[in-house]
Amino acid sequence: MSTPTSRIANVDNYDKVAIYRFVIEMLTWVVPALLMLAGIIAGLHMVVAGEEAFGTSDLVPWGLLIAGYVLLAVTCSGLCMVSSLGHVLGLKQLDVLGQRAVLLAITVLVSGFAVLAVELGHPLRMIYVMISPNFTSGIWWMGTIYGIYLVALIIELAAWQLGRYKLGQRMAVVTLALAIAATSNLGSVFALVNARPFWAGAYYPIYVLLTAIMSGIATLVILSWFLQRNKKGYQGDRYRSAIVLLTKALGIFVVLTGVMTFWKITASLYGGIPATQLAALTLVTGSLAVPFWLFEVGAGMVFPLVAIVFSKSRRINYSLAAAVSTLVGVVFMRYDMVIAGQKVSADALSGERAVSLAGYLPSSGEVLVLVGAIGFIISVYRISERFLKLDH
Amino acid sequence: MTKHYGFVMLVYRCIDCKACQVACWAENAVPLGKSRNWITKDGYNGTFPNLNVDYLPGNCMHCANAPCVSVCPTGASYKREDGLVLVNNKKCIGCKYCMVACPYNARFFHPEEEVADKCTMCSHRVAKGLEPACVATCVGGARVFGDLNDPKSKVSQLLRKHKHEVLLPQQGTKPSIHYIFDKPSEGGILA
Repeated sequence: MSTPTSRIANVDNYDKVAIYRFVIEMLTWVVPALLMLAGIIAGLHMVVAGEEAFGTSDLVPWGLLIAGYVLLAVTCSGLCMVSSLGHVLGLKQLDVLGQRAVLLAITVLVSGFAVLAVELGHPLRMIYVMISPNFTSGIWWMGTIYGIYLVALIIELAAWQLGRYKLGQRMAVVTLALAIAATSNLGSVFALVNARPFWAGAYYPIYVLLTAIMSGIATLVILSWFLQRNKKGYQGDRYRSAIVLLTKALGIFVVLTGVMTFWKITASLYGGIPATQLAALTLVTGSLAVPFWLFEVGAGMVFPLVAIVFSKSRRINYSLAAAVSTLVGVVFMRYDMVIAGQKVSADALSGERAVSLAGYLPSSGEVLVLVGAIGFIISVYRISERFLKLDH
Repeated sequence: MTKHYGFVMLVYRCIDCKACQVACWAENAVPLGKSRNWITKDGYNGTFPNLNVDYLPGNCMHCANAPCVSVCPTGASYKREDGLVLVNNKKCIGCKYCMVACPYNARFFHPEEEVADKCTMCSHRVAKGLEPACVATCVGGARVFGDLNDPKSKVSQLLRKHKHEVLLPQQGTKPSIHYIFDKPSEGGILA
């Protein structure tokens, strides 16, 4: 039996917990909003200041923002591909995430387009992509398909929201097809560049598709973990069940990505072709060694795999750690992919026999824009979640 | 027959004075720190003590199979019938795909216009029957300009008379810029 004093203490404790929860809740709104604000300010500064605000050069024209766009666009299609397993292929455990995955995919893709707009010299001239198309351009196909894909995602979400389930189902099939097409086309943007031997070939469309699914799974694990926190009973169990399934899938895709990366590096080193060999060496022992070994391999592959194997996919906190670590690794995967391919090019200027090594370091503005994109995703997703009914 | 403008670079005549670069800057208002053309070293060649260095003048190769034209999403980079690869600045979105795709690193990002810029072979001068500024100013006569389809042009005569090369032939770009490495001491007096 509690004494009046202990009751008062409990009330005090309750207040403290309530205040603590309120502060945490506010921080989860304020921090992403501040990140977004920092990104917007940095983006505007970069648009006004132009080239000098970027770390890129004429030898390395694509920098962190292109890597960021690839990261976001590909994560968006990964989200759609994985959530479609519930909608399209009838995998009931993932049904619970369907609408939320579509909403998140829309938010992520919009942030990707915003990042790309900062990178482009004249984003408003994108109108020429429609009125003066060049069908031989990889970027034209990629941009067009991603544009259509965004519209299809919005229609799909609207259909679910309006209770038009048949239309929603049909649109889920359409968005799945568009997600696959858009992602592999994004890979082809790199694969079709013969001037960059490290990129050229059929590897990247497949690699980007595979890692898109991996980043989509990791994002859904994180989303599910947050959704299950305050839910007990059936609804909470559904999210936890989804996490277990997604964690197993994450393990498989991490292994596949590891195998592909191993053979890409091995083949590039083994072949003895100067440009590809030097690009691989840049990753293995050169200026990109830390991003490659510590983040792409360590955080993106080794740590998640250890966490998944250790927990046997059953401890959801381990799943969260594995998913967060994988996403950190994916950020650097995209960075390494974009930069390593450009650092070395067949150098015509030195009589074809030599290769050039160009330097690149992201500017603070580029980093802030990417951080702002993450703030945007969290803020817009959370605001949308309040107004939409996503549990149908 | 339609014209096909191109360059022949007589490598032995280049003295690395960089007058071509200066002329281009002045003629085309090229922004500070950027260049539409260049001179690079090739070599050292020979054995000690008889060493020498070739200087290779270069600019956009105005490729017949231009990767920059293929990859441009809006058609801002285009190829004219006379062989010139040009950029319509109004259509350029500044995606820099052409810069990434060019095996010769011939393009640069114009910091004020925010478009991909490159050598135009001085199309405005060619339209008036003049030679490109870099050719007109070349002290040693290393840069020769003309119609590659005209058998009587100086460029065609040089290409008939001497062994010539293009840079990075394995890229399949079919450049309109040809290099002649013959020297007077090896292959007789050049035109």
